[in-house]
Order: sequence, then C-alpha cells, then structure tokens
Amino acid sequence: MVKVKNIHKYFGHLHVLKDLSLDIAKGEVVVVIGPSGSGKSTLLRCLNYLEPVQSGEIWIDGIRLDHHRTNIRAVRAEVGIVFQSFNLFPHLTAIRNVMLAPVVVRRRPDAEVRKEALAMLAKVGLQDKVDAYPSQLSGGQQQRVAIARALAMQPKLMLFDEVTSALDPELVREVLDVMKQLARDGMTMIVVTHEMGFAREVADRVIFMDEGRIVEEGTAEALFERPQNQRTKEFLGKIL
Amino acid sequence: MPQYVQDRLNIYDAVLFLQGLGNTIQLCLGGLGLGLVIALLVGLARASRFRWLSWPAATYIEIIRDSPLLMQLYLVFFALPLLGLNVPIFVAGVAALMLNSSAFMAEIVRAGIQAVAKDQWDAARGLGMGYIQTMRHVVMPQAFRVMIPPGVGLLIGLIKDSSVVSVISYLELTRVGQILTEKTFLSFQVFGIVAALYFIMCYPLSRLALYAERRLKVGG
Amino acid sequence: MHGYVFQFGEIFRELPMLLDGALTTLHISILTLLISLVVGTLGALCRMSRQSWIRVPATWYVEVIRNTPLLVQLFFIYFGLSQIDIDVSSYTAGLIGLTVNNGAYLTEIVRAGIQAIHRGQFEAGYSLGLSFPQLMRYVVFPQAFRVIYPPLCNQLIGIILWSSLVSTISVQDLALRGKELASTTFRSFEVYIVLTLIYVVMTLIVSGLLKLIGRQLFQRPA
Repeated sequence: MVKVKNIHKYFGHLHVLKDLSLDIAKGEVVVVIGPSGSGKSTLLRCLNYLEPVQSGEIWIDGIRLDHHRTNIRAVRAEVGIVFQSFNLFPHLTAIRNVMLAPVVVRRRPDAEVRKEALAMLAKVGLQDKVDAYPSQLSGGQQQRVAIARALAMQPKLMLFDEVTSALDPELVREVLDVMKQLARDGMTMIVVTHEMGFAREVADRVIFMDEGRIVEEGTAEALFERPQNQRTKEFLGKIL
Repeated sequence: MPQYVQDRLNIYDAVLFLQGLGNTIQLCLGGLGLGLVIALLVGLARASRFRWLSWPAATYIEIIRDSPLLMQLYLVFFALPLLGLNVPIFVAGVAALMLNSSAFMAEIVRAGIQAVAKDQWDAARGLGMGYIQTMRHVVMPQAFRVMIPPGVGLLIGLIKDSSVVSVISYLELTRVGQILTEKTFLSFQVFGIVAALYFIMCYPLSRLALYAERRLKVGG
Repeated sequence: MHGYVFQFGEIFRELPMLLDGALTTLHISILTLLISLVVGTLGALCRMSRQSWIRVPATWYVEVIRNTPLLVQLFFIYFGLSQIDIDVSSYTAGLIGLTVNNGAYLTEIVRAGIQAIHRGQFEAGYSLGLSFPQLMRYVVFPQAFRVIYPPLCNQLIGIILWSSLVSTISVQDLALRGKELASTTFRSFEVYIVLTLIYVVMTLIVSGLLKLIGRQLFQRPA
C-alpha cells in the first residue's frame, strides 16, 4: 500500500529525514514513536504531499507521489489525515464539515452525502452534535468530527498526527476508542503518537524514529519488552 | 483674446512645481505643529476619567471624523471673515488641516496613553508622584513609543490631505497641477509629476512607519 | 460677527435638491465599495502570489495609490482621459478614480483577512483534496469575510466622506449641489453647516445599519 524508498527531506539546511525507507501493507496499523524533532510528523506530511521530498520515492497504492503527471488532488482524496490541532472549519457545522469534501471534490449529490455523513458521525459517537459548530464542541468531540471528516472521503489510508497530544487527558480516551475501532475494521493506519497503551493494543508494528531515521521496528511487544538499540532503550526508559 | 497654449513643459514650470511643493510643505508643517498641541489636549481630555472632559472631547472627535475634510475646509474658509478675521487663504488652509488632523491625532494620543499598563500608574502614585509628574516622567515616554507608527501614518495622511486646500485656490502642489494642465493640456505629464512629488514625500515615511512598527513589536 | 444674521430658511427650502445630491453620493459610494471589493480580492491574491511578475506590479499599485492624494488621482484620470480623447461622463470618471483608489486599500484589507486564517485550515482543505479555487470559496473567504467586515465598514464611511472630492470634477453629488446653492444664495456659511450636518447624519445612519447587518450576518458563536 505504502512504499517509501530512500527519501531525504530538508527544511532549508536542516536535514530532517535521512535516507528513510518503509513499506506498509494494506490493513496494517503502524505506530510511529520517537522524541520531538525526530521527523515523525514530517514523514506523515510527506505521505500526502503536504511537504515535498527532495530525493527518493513515495508510492501510495501504486501511484508515485512526486511524478509530474500525478494528480495530487486525487491521491489526497484517497489519503485521510487527522491533525493535532483538529483544523475543523469553524464556519461550518459538524455535519457540513464532514459533507464538504465529498460534495465539492467528488461532486456527489448533497442528499446522498448527508446520509453518509450522519452515519459517519454516529460511528464516532456524535449523532447528537450534528448541527453544532466546532466552537460548541469539546476538544475530544472536535477531533472525532475531524476523524469523521477524513473518513467521509473513504480513504484507503489514514494518517494520524499526534491527534491526542492537544487534548485534556479525560478526552483522550474517546478519540482512541474510535481509532481502535477503525483499526479493528481493517483500515490501513499510520499513527504518530505517545500513547503506548494504544500501540500495544492495536499496532501490528511499532517504529521508533530518531533524528530523521528509523532506528528500530518490530511488534509492540518486541519493541517495548526487548528493545535492541541503545537509543530505543533510552527513549523508552524516559516515557514508560 | 488668443489663448496661449503651451505644448510642452519648460523651466518656468519647474519653478512653479517647486513653489507648489514648498507651499504644500508649509501647509503640512503648520497643520501638524498647531494640530499636535490641540491633539495633546483633546487626547488627554478624551482619556480622562471625568465625563465632563471626555464627553465633549469625544463629540469633537466624532464630528470631525464623520464629516469630509472638504466641508471642514469650506466652513473654516467662510467662517473666518464672519469672525472679522480677513486672513490670507493660507491661514484658512492651515486652520482646517489643523482641526482635522487634531481629531485623528487625539485618538492616537488616547490610544497611546491607554496602552500604558495601569500598574505603571499604581507604581508612580505609590511613590508619591502627582498626576502631572506621572504623566510627564512615566506615562508619556512610554505612550510616545506606541504613538510613533500611527503618528507617521497620520503625517502621510496630512500630506495627502493638503491637496484638498487647492479648492480654495491656494497655490500648493495640486493647484499648480491644475494651473499647468489648463495651460498645456498635458494632464498625464503634469499630474504624473505632481503624483511623483507626493510619492517622494510620502513613500519614505511609510517605510519609516513600517520600520517603527517592527521595532516596537520586538522591543515589547 | 456684528451685523450678520444667520438665514437658514433659503437653505431648508432647497433641501430636496440637496438630498438628491446626497443620494448620488450614496450610490457612487456603494458602487465604489462593491467594485473595489472585487478589485481588492484580486489584488490580495496577486499580492500573495509566488510569481514575482504578478506580485510586484500589484505591490507597486498599492504603494503608489496609498502614497498619492485621491484628488490628484481623480484629476489624473478625469483630465487624462480627455487628453487621450476618451469621452466619459464625470460620474464614470469619478467612479473609476474612487474605485482605483479604494481598490488599493481593500487589497491590503482582504490580504490581512486571508492571512489571519490559521495555516491549518489550508492544510486541512488541501488534504481533503480541495483545489485552490474550492479552498478559497468554501473555506477561506467565508472566514476571511468575518475578519474584514469591520475594516470594510470603516472603508465605506471613508468612501462616503472622500467622495465629496468628485464635486471638483463636476459630479452632481451633495458637495457640488451645496456649492451651487452657496453661489446662488450667497449664504455660504449656512449652506456648509447644513451640508456638514447631512454628511454626519448620513455617516451615522450608514454605520448604524452596517453594525446591525453585521450582527445578523455573524450570528454563529465565534
């Protein structure tokens, strides 16, 4: 599903991703952990071309991202992303937030999309908040709307960029529950997070990144219980 | 009478441009200088706690801000003779600019004073300083920094506003443009030069205002 | 002021004529605002363009207009057009002058409005697959409009007041009607007092209305 080959990414002179390679199969749930500045968010943002890479190749479902003939909008429609700061559209209600992209990008009829949006919002547990504006919702509710919005485009891949980091602790659980259900339903997911409990429960693979490289990867159990690399051990020591 | 139409601009016209430029600068200096004094008084009144001071000040400011400069100019121009003052039109021009700019300047002064944190007042009063002393040594120096960027903006506005005084036939820069256009019919060239001269006066000031604003943000 | 008796009677008799001029002032002002809004939006997009051949001329346009007087711009256009034998009515010339002038100020207002929008909004929009025009239409402009509404209202008030300068190029607005009345009645001072009052009342009514409209439009919780 996702093939990353030897990518390098620079921000000006800062070498953020160094010769990174990664393969993710369909239906796999991959959790990426690492210290801040390790490049994990950047990696995610490269996967839907919010950030271009300077060298290397990225393939999403058989389509090469930086090829000049690639319709990047079509690719983005197949890749859903949820941000740390939610980025909901404040001038639209929850349901309109969810409906906007399918109606405008896929040009589907309003009534049809509305039915699906209602189902989507019900799936994340917000059937009562359909006509609420983002400012009327809690952080956890906003983030769940953001997930529903991304899911409304029926993506093949979902990216989660530290989606619970900005939430109050008591609101984290509701968002993680939605994500766990998604994983169980077979969605291909790449999740950047600090929530180790989540990783243990649903991750097929955990990747530890540091200073722009993948240092170690393995199953959640293997990485957390028996880390091989020194840096991995240090990082885990600090957070577990 | 045969009408003499000049077909190009000559050296005498250049002198006229310079004269107009000079008169414009004089108008602005006059309007600014006297306007500042009024602005300070009105601004202080507007920021004052006393309703009997802030209310008339606010009304004065509001009326001037809600009426066109052109009207204010004509009012001053026709009012002065009625008051027995038969003054040259330069004075009418300066008076109108002074009244107009003082209202906007007063708002800048008010905003500057109110931008100084209330704690400063508490500290100064706590040290035993009176109102005037606090104003002079503590508040105004700090307020002054805040007033510079909008103040420069006001100066730019004043330079542009002075063009309106042309309607009472004072020989400032825009009036020179009108006269030369009548003489030569070369309006693009004439008003092009007039515009360029205003631009040369105003543009450096806008860069200065930007610079001052940036430095203000950094200084904190 | 000995011997001068204020006579407002003659002026109040001609009030309908003056109010007709006020109507001209109002509709040239509103037209100016609407067209300038379009110009300003285009200008803002040009100013933010990454292509310097688009961005630089737009920047120069804004700087030249903002650093030269409106009166000079009006004369430049009015006399300039007749110099190259283009025949337009005073009203049209005045409208063009006012629009070119306000377009520059609106460019900056709209640009500030768009830049006030959090970057994440753009990212979210693009990530959902929206194109640039779609992003602008559904995400950016609705939010930007809320930000630009107050300065836009101020700008309209400014236009109404400064439109008085079109009287110098023979547009039959409130200012010119007043000037004509002053020359026929010789009661200049009274005439200009009444004119000033009419402008103040117009301004207060318009800003009051705009505030009401604003409250209606922006009902949703901020």
